[in-house]
Amino acid sequence: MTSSSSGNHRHDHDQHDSLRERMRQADPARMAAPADTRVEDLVTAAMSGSARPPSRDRRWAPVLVAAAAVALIAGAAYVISRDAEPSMRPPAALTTASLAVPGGDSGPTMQSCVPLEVRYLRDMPVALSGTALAVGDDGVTIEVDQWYRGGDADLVELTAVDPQTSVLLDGFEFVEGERYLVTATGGTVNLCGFSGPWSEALAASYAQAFDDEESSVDATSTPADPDQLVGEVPLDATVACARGDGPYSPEQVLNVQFALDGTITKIDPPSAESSIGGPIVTLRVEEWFRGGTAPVARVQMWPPQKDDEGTPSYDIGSRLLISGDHGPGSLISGWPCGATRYYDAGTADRWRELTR
Amino acid sequence: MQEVSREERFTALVHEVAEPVRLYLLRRVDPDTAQDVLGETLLVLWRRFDDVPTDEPLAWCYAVGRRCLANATRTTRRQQRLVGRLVSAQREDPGPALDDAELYAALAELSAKDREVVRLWAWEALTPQEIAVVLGVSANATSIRLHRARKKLAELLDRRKDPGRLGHEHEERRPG
Repeated sequence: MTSSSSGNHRHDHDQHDSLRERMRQADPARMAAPADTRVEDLVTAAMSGSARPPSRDRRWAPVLVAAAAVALIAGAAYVISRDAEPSMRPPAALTTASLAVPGGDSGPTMQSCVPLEVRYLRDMPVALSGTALAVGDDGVTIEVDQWYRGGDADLVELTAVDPQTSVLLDGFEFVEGERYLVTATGGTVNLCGFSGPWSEALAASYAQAFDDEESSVDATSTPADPDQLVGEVPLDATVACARGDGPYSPEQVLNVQFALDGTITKIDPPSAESSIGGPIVTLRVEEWFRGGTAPVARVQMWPPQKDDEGTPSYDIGSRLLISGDHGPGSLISGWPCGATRYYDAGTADRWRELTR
Repeated sequence: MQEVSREERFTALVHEVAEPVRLYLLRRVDPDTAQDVLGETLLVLWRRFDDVPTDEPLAWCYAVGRRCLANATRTTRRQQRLVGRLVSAQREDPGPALDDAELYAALAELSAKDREVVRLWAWEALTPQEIAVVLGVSANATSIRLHRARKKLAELLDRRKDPGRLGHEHEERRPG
């Protein structure tokens, strides 16, 4: 190293120190108010699966109502915070169904109650499990997490026939954020214990009543192909995997900006455009789970690993499930370490379910 | 030795990272959003607790917070768009109340990635290796990016300090 370049380094250092100091003086968090939530409350909220500690519930309620309003206006599925851009979602996913909630004693829809039995449940044409996103005077918006039967909408609007009884149904009340099991016949919600707050017991009855049907569908829709590659696509990214993303779990798809099912149509060599030194892969998109609508996606991928015969782990024609984030320019940066997988219907279903 | 329970270990983690992550978020969005995103972040950390590195987990936690934040701001923007009440695009920097407007203006001129790298370096006081973890890119690429981003920021600030200088140069080049 010459003395002049060492002098430059010295100069750089001084400049960096003063820049850093100036930035720190302007740090927006320097004057931040102390945290108004105790760590213990944060811990409790997180472990109970809630993103918000109890003290903040009041402020949160209007947000939920606003979310439901969006759903009504756009007819679009709306999830509080882990959703993709609506304009980029496949239209098929943007669905809302409505069901009526019978009124009190006065309405013609009044039902006669029979004890809950699985054999009666089996006859219900509509059954779902979901969370009450918003409870209003004239209805309840349910975000569906599972359709047992009779629908595929993301949201279900329960419309009250009699507004007075809309939030008080057969001894239970719809509460925002709580999970419910709901059945309906002829577009009308069944009360009398056939619908109610989610409980292990009721869920077990639903599973017993409807699950046979579901598993038989699964068996026919995913024929086993012994030659089909499954699981993680081995990528030449050992360095990146050490960054601590840990082993793959389907829930990781909630943390990315893009997730898609696509077939590789073109592989371009690494270019200056790529920030990870891997090829630029063009895919024909079969389905966007999150983040896009275009029929084609360009993804910067980590280089494929090659097996003993020199066959790369992905090539033109490979059908992959890719999750990633914004890369350089218009590229998607595909994540390694299990986040890019060979297509299989089960994983695709799971991703779709999670990103819905 | 008594085995420490998963809950206890998670509590210890939250004690360690909740405040830095809260400040990280406060530097980038309004306080209400920051609080919501902090909750989301801890939720993800609990769900993926087995994946959280035991050694120096903070950078990893920043990375989770960063993604949750991206999700939240996307949702906010969409919400505003859909209900047709788009008052103004959400500012990425909560800077206007601060005195060093020049610095904020210069930061705003950087690309989003450069800006984030510089902020992580100065505000979160991370090393290039840690910044690499947060951004999910290689340490090498981060060092280079950090170097360039700092240089660019310094140049932008210089130009602001002495706005006449560039104009002057142009004048000198003018023929005649």
